[in-house]
Amino acid sequence: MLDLSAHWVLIPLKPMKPKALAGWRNKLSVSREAQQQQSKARDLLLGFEAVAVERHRGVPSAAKLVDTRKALISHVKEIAASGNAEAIIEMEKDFIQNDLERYARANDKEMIGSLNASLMGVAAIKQQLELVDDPQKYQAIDRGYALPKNRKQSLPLDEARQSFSSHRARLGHYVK
Amino acid sequence: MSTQTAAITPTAHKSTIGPTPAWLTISKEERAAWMRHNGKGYLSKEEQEEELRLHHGDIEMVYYAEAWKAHEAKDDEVSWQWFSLIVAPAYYLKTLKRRRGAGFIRALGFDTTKADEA
Repeated sequence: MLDLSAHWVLIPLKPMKPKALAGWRNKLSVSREAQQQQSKARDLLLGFEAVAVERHRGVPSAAKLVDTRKALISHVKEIAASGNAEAIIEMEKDFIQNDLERYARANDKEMIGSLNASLMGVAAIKQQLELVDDPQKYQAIDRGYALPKNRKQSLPLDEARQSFSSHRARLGHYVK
Repeated sequence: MSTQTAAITPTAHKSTIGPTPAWLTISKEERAAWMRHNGKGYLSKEEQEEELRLHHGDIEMVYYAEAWKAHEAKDDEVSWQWFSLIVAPAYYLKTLKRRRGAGFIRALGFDTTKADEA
């Protein structure tokens, strides 16, 4: 992100006249009193949230969720340690499909589109894996990605690598 | 009876200087009992029992439901009275102390033992 905070210091600001300030205040939809009332109501709402969050952590199903997440992480680490690329990609596909079914039920269009795109990426990676196994076939890909912008660290930026990077970005932003 | 109830409500005590309000001379359990019998309630008896059943006998969640209903009915004064019966997380009481001052928390009679420990 571009940080413009330093530039604000350089902009010479004329102090607003009290009359103009009052006009600006009147233009707002809420008066100062209403704003204070809202602020007080917010204290109470935040209290409700704080108590609900604390209780939510205490329920048995929340503890079970934490346990399952821990088990899933150790499962992921186990497969990652095996170094089997096919198994790792298969696992990733299962996770994405699981997420897709969950969000499809909620009819979250943005999420469905994003997860469908990542499933297509997984399919592309699978195709590329087959090509990598055969050096002669991969030579054709290597020649097809000759321009420097299509290469990264002297390797072709093939569809698998593109999918890896976009999948990593997706995990970072959640929607991409 | 009416004068006694006026003395016992938390909002009767506006300033921290002066005599201790009657509201704070009684224990939290007594205060809760007083709220259940004389306080302004927004839940019916059946709704209270339902809340109690839903939360496995956690009485604080009944106070929570009462406070929530009062807030929805735009009766924040009563909502605070019910809400102060719940043991709130320490971080929240800290925020409330910063925003409203210690006098506000004391006047409502929040249970601050957890926050004092932290």
